[in-house]
Amino acid sequence: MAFQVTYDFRMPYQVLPFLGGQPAVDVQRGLGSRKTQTVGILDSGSVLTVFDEDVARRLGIENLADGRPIRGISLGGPVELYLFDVELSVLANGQIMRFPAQVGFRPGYQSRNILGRNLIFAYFQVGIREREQQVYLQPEE
Amino acid sequence: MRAKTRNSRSKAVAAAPRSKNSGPKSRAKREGISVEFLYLTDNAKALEAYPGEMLLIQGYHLLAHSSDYQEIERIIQQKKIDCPFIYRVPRPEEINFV
Repeated sequence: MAFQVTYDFRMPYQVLPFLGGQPAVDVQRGLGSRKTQTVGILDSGSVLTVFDEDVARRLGIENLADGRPIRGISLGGPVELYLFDVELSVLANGQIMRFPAQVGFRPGYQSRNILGRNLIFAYFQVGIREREQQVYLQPEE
Repeated sequence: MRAKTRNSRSKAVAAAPRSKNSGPKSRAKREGISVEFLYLTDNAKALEAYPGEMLLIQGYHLLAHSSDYQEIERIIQQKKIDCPFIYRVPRPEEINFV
């Protein structure tokens, strides 16, 4: 049985220092009046959306422990995460898409900020064409 | 022949506004990303000079780089940047994530 999927948006992978072409998008996060912008990488293998501690500090979160603590498991071993509700915007294909999002902040640094399945994947059908280095998005109805 | 050359030149002058459209802002708009993100991707190779450091990018410029977040925050306050674009360059040993 064949299925057909139509995507409204298409965007190329973006080249990042040391990482090369990645399915990366421009992400803006806000908490109250504080905002910050960075790059997030789509990661269908991650259940959660996870950002660095310095992003939390920029959003005015002084103490990560004020968030809901959870334990995540990565191939590097267990990681402590602290969940906060933030407003998140993604700029892709010239469109700004806003989501209320639950983000896990991780003490210290990680090699990239992860946009996991609880975020973009919950709002869009996502297609990745690695050979063509393209990401396809279709908003869920 | 000379007249032709002159014509070509004037054509080149007439075409000048088009080159404006190839500036970072126009390119970012065309590609549907922010100017800061465009700067990051355009200069990805050169920015590998700052492994483990945070980059503060504003417009099509690298405003600061530091491994100390407080230093970056100080510049954000000083320059009164409302929504700073911050990107941490990974270290080479961090790049093969699974």
